[in-house]
Amino acid sequence: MIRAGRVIDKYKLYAKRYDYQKNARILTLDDKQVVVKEKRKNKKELFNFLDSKDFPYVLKPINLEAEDSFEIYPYIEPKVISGDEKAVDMMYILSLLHNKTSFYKEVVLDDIKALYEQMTKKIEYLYYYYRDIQDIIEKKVYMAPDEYLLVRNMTAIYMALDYAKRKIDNWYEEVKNKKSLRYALLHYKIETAHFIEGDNSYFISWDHAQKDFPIYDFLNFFQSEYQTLDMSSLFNIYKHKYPFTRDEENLFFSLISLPPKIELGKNTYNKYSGVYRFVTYLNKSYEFLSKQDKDYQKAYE
Amino acid sequence: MKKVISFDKEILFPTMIGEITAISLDQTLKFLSKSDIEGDFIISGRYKMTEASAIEEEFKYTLPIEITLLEAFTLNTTKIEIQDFYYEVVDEEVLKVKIDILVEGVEEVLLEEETVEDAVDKELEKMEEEKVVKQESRLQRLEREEGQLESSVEETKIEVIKSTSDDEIRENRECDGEEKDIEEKMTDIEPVLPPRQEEKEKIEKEEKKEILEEKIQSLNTTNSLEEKPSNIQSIFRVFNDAEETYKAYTVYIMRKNDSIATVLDRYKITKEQLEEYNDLSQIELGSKVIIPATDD
Repeated sequence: MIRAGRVIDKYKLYAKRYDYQKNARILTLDDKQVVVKEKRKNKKELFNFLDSKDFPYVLKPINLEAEDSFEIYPYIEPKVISGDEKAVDMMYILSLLHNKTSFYKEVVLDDIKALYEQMTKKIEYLYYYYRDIQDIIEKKVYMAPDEYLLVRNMTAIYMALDYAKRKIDNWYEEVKNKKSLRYALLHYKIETAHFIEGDNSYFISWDHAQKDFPIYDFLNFFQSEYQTLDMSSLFNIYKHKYPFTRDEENLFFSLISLPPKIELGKNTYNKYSGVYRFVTYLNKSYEFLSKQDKDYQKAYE
Repeated sequence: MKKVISFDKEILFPTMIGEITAISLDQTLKFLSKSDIEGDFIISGRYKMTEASAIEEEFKYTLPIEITLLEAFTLNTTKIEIQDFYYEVVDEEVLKVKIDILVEGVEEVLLEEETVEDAVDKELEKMEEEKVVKQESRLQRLEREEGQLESSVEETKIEVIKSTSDDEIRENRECDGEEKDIEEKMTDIEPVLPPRQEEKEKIEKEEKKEILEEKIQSLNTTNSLEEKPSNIQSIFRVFNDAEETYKAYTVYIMRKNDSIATVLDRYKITKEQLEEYNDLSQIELGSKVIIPATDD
Protein backbone atom coordinates (compact mmCIF):
# COMPACT_ATOMS: atom_id res chain seq x y z
CA MET A 1 0.00 0.00 0.00
CA ILE A 2 1.42 3.34 -1.04
CA ARG A 3 1.63 6.10 1.56
CA ALA A 4 -0.37 9.20 0.76
CA GLY A 5 1.45 11.42 3.26
CA ARG A 6 2.86 13.81 0.66
CA VAL A 7 -0.53 14.62 -0.89
CA ILE A 8 -2.16 14.82 2.53
CA ASP A 9 0.49 17.32 3.61
CA LYS A 10 0.23 19.30 0.38
CA TYR A 11 -3.52 19.78 0.67
CA LYS A 12 -3.57 19.76 4.50
CA LEU A 13 -6.01 16.85 4.62
CA TYR A 14 -5.44 15.99 8.25
CA ALA A 15 -8.29 13.75 9.25
CA LYS A 16 -10.24 13.03 12.38
CA ARG A 17 -11.28 9.69 11.02
CA TYR A 18 -9.88 7.42 8.34
CA ASP A 19 -11.86 4.80 6.40
CA TYR A 20 -10.73 2.44 3.69
CA GLN A 21 -13.08 1.09 1.08
CA LYS A 22 -11.05 -1.16 -1.20
CA ASN A 23 -8.22 1.13 -2.32
CA ALA A 24 -9.95 4.42 -1.56
CA ARG A 25 -9.19 6.33 1.61
CA ILE A 26 -12.14 8.31 2.96
CA LEU A 27 -10.90 11.11 5.18
CA THR A 28 -13.22 12.86 7.60
CA LEU A 29 -11.92 16.40 8.06
CA ASP A 30 -13.27 19.19 10.25
CA ASP A 31 -15.74 20.52 7.70
CA LYS A 32 -15.97 17.92 4.93
CA GLN A 33 -15.10 14.45 3.76
CA VAL A 34 -12.78 13.66 0.87
CA VAL A 35 -11.73 10.50 -0.92
CA VAL A 36 -8.04 10.00 -1.66
CA LYS A 37 -7.20 7.43 -4.30
CA GLU A 38 -4.02 6.40 -6.02
CA LYS A 39 -3.70 7.93 -9.48
CA ARG A 40 -3.24 5.27 -12.14
CA LYS A 41 -3.38 7.49 -15.17
CA ASN A 42 -3.91 11.09 -16.12
CA LYS A 43 -7.57 11.54 -16.95
CA LYS A 44 -7.52 15.16 -17.97
CA GLU A 45 -7.94 14.34 -21.66
CA LEU A 46 -10.74 11.89 -20.92
CA PHE A 47 -12.70 14.37 -18.82
CA ASN A 48 -12.22 17.06 -21.45
CA PHE A 49 -13.62 14.66 -24.04
CA LEU A 50 -16.63 13.89 -21.83
CA ASP A 51 -17.18 17.61 -21.25
CA SER A 52 -17.11 18.19 -24.99
CA LYS A 53 -19.81 15.51 -25.35
CA ASP A 54 -21.83 17.18 -22.59
CA PHE A 55 -21.82 14.10 -20.38
CA PRO A 56 -22.10 15.42 -16.82
CA TYR A 57 -22.27 12.19 -14.85
CA VAL A 58 -18.58 12.15 -14.03
CA LEU A 59 -16.96 12.77 -10.69
CA LYS A 60 -13.76 14.70 -11.33
CA PRO A 61 -10.87 14.93 -8.89
CA ILE A 62 -10.29 18.25 -7.16
CA ASN A 63 -6.63 18.12 -8.12
CA LEU A 64 -7.16 17.13 -11.76
CA GLU A 65 -4.69 19.72 -13.02
CA ALA A 66 -1.94 18.86 -10.54
CA GLU A 67 0.74 16.24 -11.13
CA ASP A 68 0.06 14.43 -7.85
CA SER A 69 0.37 10.70 -7.32
CA PHE A 70 -3.03 10.63 -5.64
CA GLU A 71 -6.40 11.96 -6.73
CA ILE A 72 -8.65 13.78 -4.29
CA TYR A 73 -12.40 13.53 -4.83
CA PRO A 74 -15.21 15.17 -2.90
CA TYR A 75 -17.09 12.59 -0.88
CA ILE A 76 -20.64 12.05 -2.12
CA GLU A 77 -23.02 10.83 0.53
CA PRO A 78 -24.87 7.99 -1.24
CA LYS A 79 -28.65 7.78 -1.26
CA VAL A 80 -30.14 4.86 0.57
CA ILE A 81 -31.60 2.84 -2.31
CA SER A 82 -31.68 -0.83 -3.20
CA GLY A 83 -29.08 -2.38 -5.45
CA ASP A 84 -31.70 -3.10 -8.14
CA GLU A 85 -32.90 0.49 -8.19
CA LYS A 86 -29.33 1.73 -8.44
CA ALA A 87 -28.58 -0.70 -11.28
CA VAL A 88 -31.62 0.51 -13.24
CA ASP A 89 -30.48 4.15 -12.89
CA MET A 90 -27.00 3.09 -13.90
CA MET A 91 -28.31 1.46 -17.09
CA TYR A 92 -29.93 4.74 -18.17
CA ILE A 93 -26.74 6.69 -17.58
CA LEU A 94 -24.60 4.02 -19.23
CA SER A 95 -26.77 4.01 -22.35
CA LEU A 96 -26.52 7.80 -22.37
CA LEU A 97 -22.72 7.61 -22.20
CA HIS A 98 -22.62 5.23 -25.15
CA ASN A 99 -25.15 7.26 -27.12
CA LYS A 100 -23.21 10.48 -26.63
CA THR A 101 -19.80 9.06 -27.40
CA SER A 102 -20.58 6.62 -30.25
CA PHE A 103 -18.77 6.97 -33.52
CA TYR A 104 -18.09 4.82 -36.57
CA LYS A 105 -14.64 3.76 -37.55
CA GLU A 106 -13.37 2.05 -40.67
CA VAL A 107 -12.97 -1.71 -40.32
CA VAL A 108 -9.39 -2.86 -40.08
CA LEU A 109 -9.68 -6.42 -41.33
CA ASP A 110 -6.50 -7.55 -39.58
CA ASP A 111 -7.87 -6.45 -36.20
CA ILE A 112 -11.16 -8.19 -36.83
CA LYS A 113 -9.40 -11.35 -37.94
CA ALA A 114 -7.09 -11.26 -34.92
CA LEU A 115 -10.07 -10.99 -32.56
CA TYR A 116 -11.87 -13.84 -34.36
CA GLU A 117 -8.81 -16.10 -34.20
CA GLN A 118 -8.23 -15.27 -30.56
CA MET A 119 -11.82 -16.22 -29.75
CA THR A 120 -11.82 -19.47 -31.74
CA LYS A 121 -8.49 -20.52 -30.20
CA LYS A 122 -9.82 -19.79 -26.74
CA ILE A 123 -13.00 -21.81 -27.38
CA GLU A 124 -10.96 -24.72 -28.70
CA TYR A 125 -8.56 -24.55 -25.76
CA LEU A 126 -11.42 -24.51 -23.25
CA TYR A 127 -13.08 -27.45 -24.99
CA TYR A 128 -9.96 -29.63 -24.60
CA TYR A 129 -9.30 -28.27 -21.09
CA TYR A 130 -12.74 -29.31 -19.81
CA ARG A 131 -12.61 -32.62 -21.67
CA ASP A 132 -9.33 -33.47 -19.89
CA ILE A 133 -10.79 -32.47 -16.53
CA GLN A 134 -13.81 -34.68 -17.25
CA ASP A 135 -11.54 -37.64 -18.12
CA ILE A 136 -9.55 -37.23 -14.91
CA ILE A 137 -12.64 -36.93 -12.72
CA GLU A 138 -14.47 -39.84 -14.34
CA LYS A 139 -11.54 -42.17 -13.74
CA LYS A 140 -11.76 -41.59 -9.99
CA VAL A 141 -13.58 -44.15 -7.88
CA TYR A 142 -14.70 -41.55 -5.37
CA MET A 143 -15.26 -38.01 -6.57
CA ALA A 144 -14.77 -34.97 -4.36
CA PRO A 145 -17.87 -32.74 -3.97
CA ASP A 146 -16.46 -30.07 -6.27
CA GLU A 147 -15.53 -32.69 -8.89
CA TYR A 148 -19.01 -34.19 -8.78
CA LEU A 149 -20.60 -30.74 -9.17
CA LEU A 150 -18.38 -29.95 -12.14
CA VAL A 151 -18.82 -33.24 -13.96
CA ARG A 152 -22.61 -33.02 -13.58
CA ASN A 153 -22.51 -29.75 -15.52
CA MET A 154 -20.22 -30.86 -18.33
CA THR A 155 -23.05 -30.88 -20.88
CA ALA A 156 -23.83 -27.25 -20.08
CA ILE A 157 -20.15 -26.36 -20.58
CA TYR A 158 -19.96 -28.01 -24.02
CA MET A 159 -23.27 -26.44 -24.99
CA ALA A 160 -22.02 -22.97 -24.01
CA LEU A 161 -18.78 -23.47 -25.92
CA ASP A 162 -20.64 -24.68 -28.99
CA TYR A 163 -22.97 -21.68 -28.86
CA ALA A 164 -20.04 -19.28 -28.43
CA LYS A 165 -18.34 -20.77 -31.49
CA ARG A 166 -21.45 -20.45 -33.65
CA LYS A 167 -22.00 -16.85 -32.58
CA ILE A 168 -18.43 -15.76 -33.20
CA ASP A 169 -18.52 -17.37 -36.65
CA ASN A 170 -21.69 -15.41 -37.41
CA TRP A 171 -20.08 -12.22 -36.17
CA TYR A 172 -17.00 -12.71 -38.33
CA GLU A 173 -19.07 -13.47 -41.43
CA GLU A 174 -20.98 -10.23 -40.93
CA VAL A 175 -18.19 -7.82 -40.08
CA LYS A 176 -15.61 -8.96 -42.62
CA ASN A 177 -17.74 -7.43 -45.39
CA LYS A 178 -18.55 -4.26 -43.47
CA LYS A 179 -16.85 -0.96 -44.13
CA SER A 180 -17.19 0.55 -40.69
CA LEU A 181 -18.06 -0.53 -37.15
CA ARG A 182 -19.50 1.32 -34.21
CA TYR A 183 -17.27 2.31 -31.31
CA ALA A 184 -17.96 4.24 -28.12
CA LEU A 185 -16.14 5.50 -25.09
CA LEU A 186 -16.38 2.74 -22.52
CA HIS A 187 -16.00 2.97 -18.79
CA TYR A 188 -14.75 -0.65 -18.83
CA LYS A 189 -15.31 -1.27 -15.11
CA ILE A 190 -19.06 -1.01 -14.90
CA GLU A 191 -20.40 -2.19 -11.58
CA THR A 192 -22.79 -0.70 -9.05
CA ALA A 193 -19.89 0.10 -6.70
CA HIS A 194 -18.55 2.48 -9.36
CA PHE A 195 -21.83 4.34 -9.65
CA ILE A 196 -22.73 6.82 -6.93
CA GLU A 197 -26.11 8.38 -6.47
CA GLY A 198 -26.21 11.38 -4.19
CA ASP A 199 -27.67 14.75 -5.14
CA ASN A 200 -26.57 13.85 -8.64
CA SER A 201 -25.41 10.58 -10.22
CA TYR A 202 -21.79 9.90 -11.01
CA PHE A 203 -19.61 7.23 -12.51
CA ILE A 204 -16.31 6.90 -10.67
CA SER A 205 -13.12 4.87 -11.29
CA TRP A 206 -12.43 5.83 -14.89
CA ASP A 207 -8.96 4.32 -14.82
CA HIS A 208 -9.71 1.73 -17.50
CA ALA A 209 -11.83 3.91 -19.79
CA GLN A 210 -11.12 3.49 -23.50
CA LYS A 211 -12.77 3.52 -26.92
CA ASP A 212 -13.93 0.09 -28.05
CA PHE A 213 -16.97 -1.88 -29.21
CA PRO A 214 -19.85 -0.77 -26.95
CA ILE A 215 -20.73 -4.34 -25.90
CA TYR A 216 -17.84 -4.62 -23.46
CA ASP A 217 -19.35 -2.38 -20.79
CA PHE A 218 -22.45 -4.50 -20.31
CA LEU A 219 -20.36 -7.66 -20.65
CA ASN A 220 -18.09 -6.57 -17.79
CA PHE A 221 -21.11 -5.57 -15.74
CA PHE A 222 -22.70 -8.98 -16.36
CA GLN A 223 -19.53 -10.83 -15.40
CA SER A 224 -19.07 -8.90 -12.16
CA GLU A 225 -22.65 -8.85 -10.87
CA TYR A 226 -24.47 -11.83 -12.43
CA GLN A 227 -24.93 -13.37 -8.98
CA THR A 228 -26.92 -10.56 -7.42
CA LEU A 229 -28.87 -8.74 -10.14
CA ASP A 230 -31.50 -9.64 -12.71
CA MET A 231 -29.35 -9.07 -15.76
CA SER A 232 -32.00 -9.78 -18.34
CA SER A 233 -34.32 -6.96 -17.25
CA LEU A 234 -31.36 -4.59 -16.90
CA PHE A 235 -30.23 -5.45 -20.41
CA ASN A 236 -33.75 -4.73 -21.68
CA ILE A 237 -33.55 -1.23 -20.17
CA TYR A 238 -30.12 -0.67 -21.63
CA LYS A 239 -30.87 -1.92 -25.13
CA HIS A 240 -34.12 0.04 -25.22
CA LYS A 241 -31.98 3.20 -25.11
CA TYR A 242 -28.97 1.84 -26.92
CA PRO A 243 -29.83 -1.18 -29.11
CA PHE A 244 -26.96 -3.33 -30.31
CA THR A 245 -26.55 -3.92 -34.02
CA ARG A 246 -26.78 -7.50 -35.29
CA ASP A 247 -23.03 -8.02 -35.41
CA GLU A 248 -22.59 -6.50 -31.95
CA GLU A 249 -25.24 -8.84 -30.60
CA ASN A 250 -23.45 -11.86 -32.05
CA LEU A 251 -20.15 -10.88 -30.47
CA PHE A 252 -21.85 -9.99 -27.18
CA PHE A 253 -23.76 -13.29 -26.94
CA SER A 254 -20.64 -15.23 -27.85
CA LEU A 255 -18.64 -13.57 -25.10
CA ILE A 256 -21.41 -13.94 -22.52
CA SER A 257 -21.75 -17.62 -23.32
CA LEU A 258 -18.03 -18.36 -23.17
CA PRO A 259 -17.41 -20.00 -19.78
CA PRO A 260 -14.34 -18.82 -17.89
CA LYS A 261 -11.40 -21.12 -17.34
CA ILE A 262 -12.02 -22.62 -13.95
CA GLU A 263 -9.21 -22.10 -11.47
CA LEU A 264 -9.28 -24.77 -8.81
CA GLY A 265 -8.23 -23.51 -5.38
CA LYS A 266 -5.69 -25.05 -3.08
CA ASN A 267 -8.00 -26.56 -0.50
CA THR A 268 -11.35 -28.37 -0.77
CA TYR A 269 -13.30 -25.36 0.48
CA ASN A 270 -11.81 -23.02 -2.11
CA LYS A 271 -12.14 -25.65 -4.85
CA TYR A 272 -15.81 -26.15 -4.11
CA SER A 273 -16.61 -22.44 -3.91
CA GLY A 274 -14.73 -21.91 -7.21
CA VAL A 275 -16.73 -24.64 -8.95
CA TYR A 276 -19.95 -23.33 -7.40
CA ARG A 277 -19.30 -19.83 -8.75
CA PHE A 278 -18.48 -21.31 -12.16
CA VAL A 279 -21.67 -23.35 -12.30
CA THR A 280 -23.70 -20.32 -11.18
CA TYR A 281 -22.21 -18.36 -14.09
CA LEU A 282 -23.20 -21.14 -16.52
CA ASN A 283 -26.76 -21.12 -15.20
CA LYS A 284 -27.08 -17.33 -15.21
CA SER A 285 -25.67 -16.97 -18.71
CA TYR A 286 -27.99 -19.78 -19.91
CA GLU A 287 -30.93 -17.98 -18.31
CA PHE A 288 -29.89 -14.65 -19.81
CA LEU A 289 -29.27 -15.97 -23.32
CA SER A 290 -32.46 -18.01 -23.43
CA LYS A 291 -34.40 -14.79 -22.76
CA GLN A 292 -32.41 -12.53 -25.05
CA ASP A 293 -31.57 -14.66 -28.10
CA LYS A 294 -34.28 -16.41 -30.09
CA ASP A 295 -31.65 -18.58 -31.84
CA TYR A 296 -30.54 -19.89 -28.49
CA GLN A 297 -34.09 -20.84 -27.59
CA LYS A 298 -34.55 -22.64 -30.89
CA ALA A 299 -31.29 -24.55 -30.65
CA TYR A 300 -31.39 -25.70 -27.06
CA GLU A 301 -34.92 -25.79 -25.79
CA MET B 1 4.45 23.90 15.66
CA LYS B 2 3.64 20.60 14.06
CA LYS B 3 4.94 17.23 15.12
CA VAL B 4 4.36 13.86 13.46
CA ILE B 5 4.30 10.77 15.65
CA SER B 6 4.24 7.31 14.07
CA PHE B 7 2.80 4.13 15.50
CA ASP B 8 3.19 0.55 14.35
CA LYS B 9 1.00 -2.16 15.78
CA GLU B 10 0.41 -5.78 14.91
CA ILE B 11 -3.03 -7.13 15.77
CA LEU B 12 -3.46 -10.87 15.91
CA PHE B 13 -6.89 -11.97 14.68
CA PRO B 14 -8.71 -14.94 16.21
CA THR B 15 -9.24 -16.44 12.73
CA MET B 16 -7.54 -16.39 9.35
CA ILE B 17 -7.75 -13.15 7.37
CA GLY B 18 -8.59 -13.78 3.74
CA GLU B 19 -9.37 -10.21 2.82
CA ILE B 20 -10.02 -6.96 4.65
CA THR B 21 -13.11 -5.54 2.94
CA ALA B 22 -13.40 -2.33 4.96
CA ILE B 23 -11.34 -0.74 7.71
CA SER B 24 -11.74 2.47 9.70
CA LEU B 25 -9.53 4.33 12.10
CA ASP B 26 -10.99 6.61 14.72
CA GLN B 27 -9.10 8.35 17.51
CA THR B 28 -9.98 9.90 20.84
CA LEU B 29 -6.58 11.39 21.64
CA LYS B 30 -6.56 14.43 23.91
CA PHE B 31 -4.00 16.55 25.71
CA LEU B 32 -4.06 15.79 29.42
CA SER B 33 -1.42 18.37 30.19
CA LYS B 34 0.95 20.51 28.13
CA SER B 35 3.11 17.55 27.16
CA ASP B 36 0.92 14.51 27.78
CA ILE B 37 -1.49 12.98 25.32
CA GLU B 38 -3.82 10.14 26.14
CA GLY B 39 -6.63 8.36 24.34
CA ASP B 40 -7.45 5.44 22.08
CA PHE B 41 -7.10 4.41 18.49
CA ILE B 42 -10.23 2.53 17.47
CA ILE B 43 -9.69 0.24 14.51
CA SER B 44 -12.83 -1.39 13.16
CA GLY B 45 -14.05 -2.93 9.93
CA ARG B 46 -15.07 -6.07 8.14
CA TYR B 47 -13.08 -8.99 6.82
CA LYS B 48 -13.48 -12.31 5.08
CA MET B 49 -11.88 -15.36 6.60
CA THR B 50 -11.01 -16.67 3.14
CA GLU B 51 -10.99 -14.84 -0.15
CA ALA B 52 -13.67 -17.17 -1.50
CA SER B 53 -15.91 -16.59 1.50
CA ALA B 54 -19.19 -14.79 0.92
CA ILE B 55 -19.65 -13.99 4.60
CA GLU B 56 -18.00 -10.95 6.15
CA GLU B 57 -17.03 -10.84 9.80
CA GLU B 58 -16.78 -7.64 11.81
CA PHE B 59 -13.83 -6.64 13.96
CA LYS B 60 -13.09 -3.84 16.40
CA TYR B 61 -9.91 -3.22 18.37
CA THR B 62 -9.14 -0.40 20.77
CA LEU B 63 -5.51 0.54 21.20
CA PRO B 64 -4.90 2.69 24.28
CA ILE B 65 -2.22 5.33 23.69
CA GLU B 66 -0.17 7.47 26.06
CA ILE B 67 2.35 9.96 24.70
CA THR B 68 4.71 12.22 26.57
CA LEU B 69 6.14 14.94 24.38
CA LEU B 70 9.47 16.66 24.92
CA GLU B 71 7.84 19.94 24.01
CA ALA B 72 5.15 21.74 25.97
CA PHE B 73 2.16 23.08 24.06
CA THR B 74 -0.26 25.83 24.97
CA LEU B 75 -3.35 23.77 25.68
CA ASN B 76 -6.08 25.77 23.97
CA THR B 77 -4.11 25.80 20.69
CA THR B 78 -3.56 22.07 20.33
CA LYS B 79 -5.02 19.83 17.66
CA ILE B 80 -4.46 16.11 17.08
CA GLU B 81 -5.25 14.67 13.66
CA ILE B 82 -4.46 11.60 11.60
CA GLN B 83 -1.85 12.35 8.95
CA ASP B 84 -1.73 8.91 7.36
CA PHE B 85 -3.00 5.42 8.05
CA TYR B 86 -2.25 2.26 6.16
CA TYR B 87 -2.32 -1.44 6.83
CA GLU B 88 -1.23 -4.82 5.56
CA VAL B 89 -2.12 -8.41 6.34
CA VAL B 90 0.84 -10.53 7.42
CA ASP B 91 0.76 -14.34 7.26
CA GLU B 92 -3.03 -14.35 6.81
CA GLU B 93 -3.63 -13.80 10.53
CA VAL B 94 -1.99 -10.57 11.63
CA LEU B 95 -3.22 -7.10 10.73
CA LYS B 96 -0.28 -4.70 10.74
CA VAL B 97 -1.36 -1.08 11.06
CA LYS B 98 0.79 1.99 10.68
CA ILE B 99 -0.58 5.29 11.94
CA ASP B 100 0.98 8.73 11.66
CA ILE B 101 -0.64 11.36 13.83
CA LEU B 102 -0.06 15.06 13.57
CA VAL B 103 0.14 17.11 16.74
CA GLU B 104 -0.30 20.79 16.08
CA GLY B 105 -0.22 23.72 18.46
CA VAL B 106 1.68 26.65 19.83
CA GLU B 107 4.81 25.52 21.56
CA GLU B 108 5.53 27.33 24.77
CA VAL B 109 9.16 27.65 23.74
CA LEU B 110 7.96 30.14 21.17
CA LEU B 111 8.06 32.75 23.94
CA GLU B 112 11.81 32.71 23.48
CA GLU B 113 11.33 34.25 20.10
CA GLU B 114 10.76 37.53 21.90
CA THR B 115 14.07 36.97 23.62
CA VAL B 116 15.64 36.51 20.23
CA GLU B 117 14.24 39.80 19.09
CA ASP B 118 15.30 41.54 22.26
CA ALA B 119 18.72 40.01 22.03
CA VAL B 120 19.17 41.24 18.50
CA ASP B 121 18.14 44.75 19.58
CA LYS B 122 20.62 44.61 22.41
CA GLU B 123 23.28 43.45 20.05
CA LEU B 124 22.65 46.41 17.80
CA GLU B 125 22.80 48.80 20.73
CA LYS B 126 26.10 47.30 21.74
CA MET B 127 27.44 47.70 18.26
CA GLU B 128 26.49 51.38 18.36
CA GLU B 129 28.24 51.76 21.66
CA GLU B 130 31.36 50.06 20.40
CA LYS B 131 31.80 52.71 17.79
CA VAL B 132 32.03 55.31 20.52
CA VAL B 133 34.18 53.12 22.66
CA LYS B 134 36.99 53.18 20.13
CA GLN B 135 37.60 56.81 20.81
CA GLU B 136 37.71 56.35 24.57
CA SER B 137 40.69 55.71 26.79
CA ARG B 138 42.17 52.26 27.34
CA LEU B 139 40.79 52.15 30.87
CA GLN B 140 37.27 52.94 29.79
CA ARG B 141 37.54 50.38 27.04
CA LEU B 142 38.45 47.70 29.53
CA GLU B 143 35.34 48.53 31.51
CA ARG B 144 33.20 48.35 28.41
CA GLU B 145 34.59 45.01 27.35
CA GLU B 146 32.51 43.23 29.92
CA GLY B 147 29.43 44.54 28.14
CA GLN B 148 30.95 43.59 24.83
CA LEU B 149 31.34 40.01 25.94
CA GLU B 150 27.76 40.09 27.09
CA SER B 151 26.70 41.10 23.59
CA SER B 152 28.65 38.26 22.03
CA VAL B 153 26.91 35.89 24.42
CA GLU B 154 23.56 37.31 23.35
CA GLU B 155 24.58 36.91 19.74
CA THR B 156 25.44 33.27 20.36
CA LYS B 157 22.05 32.82 21.91
CA ILE B 158 20.35 33.99 18.74
CA GLU B 159 22.18 31.47 16.71
CA VAL B 160 21.63 28.70 19.19
CA ILE B 161 17.91 29.28 19.13
CA LYS B 162 17.88 29.51 15.38
CA SER B 163 19.75 26.26 15.00
CA THR B 164 17.41 24.56 17.44
CA SER B 165 14.55 25.37 15.14
CA ASP B 166 16.58 24.08 12.21
CA ASP B 167 17.02 20.75 13.93
CA GLU B 168 13.33 20.53 14.63
CA ILE B 169 12.56 21.14 10.98
CA ARG B 170 14.75 18.26 9.96
CA GLU B 171 13.11 15.99 12.51
CA ASN B 172 9.52 16.92 11.89
CA ARG B 173 9.52 18.16 8.32
CA GLU B 174 6.82 20.55 9.44
CA CYS B 175 8.32 23.47 11.30
CA ASP B 176 9.06 25.75 8.38
CA GLY B 177 6.91 28.44 9.99
CA GLU B 178 9.33 28.97 12.83
CA GLU B 179 12.36 29.07 10.60
CA LYS B 180 10.69 31.57 8.34
CA ASP B 181 9.84 33.78 11.33
CA ILE B 182 13.41 33.87 12.51
CA GLU B 183 14.79 34.33 9.05
CA GLU B 184 12.39 37.16 8.47
CA LYS B 185 13.57 38.79 11.65
CA MET B 186 17.17 38.37 10.66
CA THR B 187 16.61 39.98 7.28
CA ASP B 188 14.61 42.74 8.94
CA ILE B 189 17.55 43.53 11.14
CA GLU B 190 20.18 43.72 8.46
CA PRO B 191 19.21 47.00 6.85
CA VAL B 192 19.26 48.68 10.28
CA LEU B 193 23.00 48.16 10.47
CA PRO B 194 25.00 50.96 8.90
CA PRO B 195 26.94 49.39 6.00
CA ARG B 196 30.43 49.97 7.34
CA GLN B 197 29.69 49.84 11.01
CA GLU B 198 29.24 46.12 11.22
CA GLU B 199 32.43 45.55 9.35
CA LYS B 200 34.31 47.75 11.78
CA GLU B 201 32.93 45.88 14.72
CA LYS B 202 36.03 44.75 16.55
CA ILE B 203 36.10 42.69 19.67
CA GLU B 204 39.32 42.29 21.47
CA LYS B 205 39.55 39.21 23.56
CA GLU B 206 40.70 39.39 27.10
CA GLU B 207 41.44 36.93 29.82
CA LYS B 208 37.73 36.73 30.53
CA LYS B 209 37.55 33.73 28.25
CA GLU B 210 36.68 31.48 31.18
CA ILE B 211 33.68 33.60 32.12
CA LEU B 212 32.47 33.50 28.55
CA GLU B 213 32.78 29.74 28.35
CA GLU B 214 30.80 29.38 31.54
CA LYS B 215 28.07 31.56 30.11
CA ILE B 216 28.03 29.60 26.88
CA GLN B 217 27.76 26.35 28.82
CA SER B 218 24.87 27.65 30.86
CA LEU B 219 23.19 28.77 27.62
CA ASN B 220 23.56 25.34 26.11
CA THR B 221 21.96 23.71 29.11
CA THR B 222 19.03 26.11 29.10
CA ASN B 223 18.40 25.46 25.44
CA SER B 224 18.87 21.70 26.00
CA LEU B 225 20.79 21.26 22.83
CA GLU B 226 22.11 17.81 22.16
CA GLU B 227 24.27 18.81 19.25
CA LYS B 228 25.89 22.15 18.69
CA PRO B 229 25.71 23.43 15.16
CA SER B 230 29.12 23.40 13.61
CA ASN B 231 29.26 27.13 12.79
CA ILE B 232 28.77 27.93 16.47
CA GLN B 233 31.34 25.36 17.38
CA SER B 234 33.73 27.07 15.05
CA ILE B 235 33.22 30.36 16.88
CA PHE B 236 33.89 28.63 20.18
CA ARG B 237 36.85 26.84 18.71
CA VAL B 238 38.39 30.19 18.03
CA PHE B 239 38.13 30.99 21.70
CA ASN B 240 39.37 27.57 22.73
CA ASP B 241 42.34 27.51 20.38
CA ALA B 242 43.46 30.98 21.24
CA GLU B 243 44.71 29.95 24.62
CA GLU B 244 47.70 32.20 24.72
CA THR B 245 47.71 34.38 21.66
CA TYR B 246 44.93 36.89 21.27
CA LYS B 247 44.03 38.59 18.04
CA ALA B 248 41.60 41.28 17.14
CA TYR B 249 39.00 40.35 14.56
CA THR B 250 36.12 41.76 12.64
CA VAL B 251 32.70 40.16 12.41
CA TYR B 252 31.11 40.43 8.99
CA ILE B 253 27.50 39.43 8.29
CA MET B 254 27.07 37.79 4.91
CA ARG B 255 24.59 39.62 2.69
CA LYS B 256 23.02 39.17 -0.69
CA ASN B 257 25.51 38.72 -3.54
CA ASP B 258 28.33 38.11 -1.07
CA SER B 259 30.63 35.17 -1.61
CA ILE B 260 33.72 33.94 0.17
CA ALA B 261 35.80 35.40 -2.64
CA THR B 262 34.30 38.89 -2.18
CA VAL B 263 34.95 38.74 1.56
CA LEU B 264 38.56 37.65 1.00
CA ASP B 265 39.00 40.44 -1.47
CA ARG B 266 37.43 43.07 0.76
CA TYR B 267 39.54 42.26 3.82
CA LYS B 268 42.68 41.30 1.91
CA ILE B 269 43.09 37.98 3.65
CA THR B 270 43.73 34.49 2.37
CA LYS B 271 41.23 31.67 2.29
CA GLU B 272 43.39 29.69 4.70
CA GLN B 273 43.27 32.52 7.25
CA LEU B 274 39.49 32.67 6.96
CA GLU B 275 39.17 28.89 7.18
CA GLU B 276 41.10 28.90 10.42
CA TYR B 277 38.29 30.81 12.13
CA ASN B 278 35.23 29.72 10.17
CA ASP B 279 33.60 26.60 8.81
CA LEU B 280 33.33 27.71 5.20
CA SER B 281 30.86 24.96 4.26
CA GLN B 282 28.33 26.40 6.73
CA ILE B 283 28.44 29.97 5.49
CA GLU B 284 25.18 31.24 4.05
CA LEU B 285 23.17 34.45 3.86
CA GLY B 286 23.12 36.07 7.30
CA SER B 287 26.05 34.01 8.66
CA LYS B 288 28.56 35.84 10.81
CA VAL B 289 32.05 35.47 9.47
CA ILE B 290 35.03 36.10 11.68
CA ILE B 291 37.68 38.10 9.84
CA PRO B 292 41.05 37.86 11.58
CA ALA B 293 42.92 41.16 11.71
CA THR B 294 45.86 41.29 9.32
CA ASP B 295 49.23 42.70 10.37
CA ASP B 296 48.92 45.81 8.26
